[in-house]
Amino acid sequence: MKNNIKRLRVNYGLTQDELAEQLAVSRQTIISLEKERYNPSIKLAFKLSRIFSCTIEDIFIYEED
Amino acid sequence: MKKNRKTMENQLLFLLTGLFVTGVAIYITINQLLNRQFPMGLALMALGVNQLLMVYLSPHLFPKDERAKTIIGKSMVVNYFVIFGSIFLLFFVAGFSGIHWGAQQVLIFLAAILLVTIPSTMVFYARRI
Repeated sequence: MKNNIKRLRVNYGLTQDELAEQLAVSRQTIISLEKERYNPSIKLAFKLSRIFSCTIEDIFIYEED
Repeated sequence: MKKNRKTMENQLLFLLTGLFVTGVAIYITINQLLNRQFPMGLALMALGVNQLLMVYLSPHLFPKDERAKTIIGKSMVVNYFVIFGSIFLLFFVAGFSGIHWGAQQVLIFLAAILLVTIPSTMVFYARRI
């Protein structure tokens, strides 16, 4: 799934390590999310939306197969 | 930052133990193979390979990390089939060849298979996910 995590993270001035720490996940998870190789759980998506103060739809772009 | 340092320490530890155990296992296994005996050092060698694979895996596997849980879950599904495949292979070997292994040798073989395939499949999924 496409997402805007990298753009939002850079806008908020966060490093991958800092974002990983706030989300309580590993840096590898952030790397995978940014490379769009991994789709997060709904819980992690909500955490991301809280950190970036936006809706889940603003972070993730849903595309039908 | 603390986590990264801990990860690097773990990687170094896995590398050192992996190299040591693999070295010892090669020494033992070569000796047994030259004497045409079952390589009892097979499980030890698998353990060494396991440690070396953990060097790559340790930055990917953290407790409470959901990606790590996904990697472990997918790897376990594959290994469920690997263990059944290995058992069927052993049935086949026992039934259609002149090789007759004892219980300890079968256990060593199965342990070696699992010690290598579990981290190998985790490495595969860690690279994909």
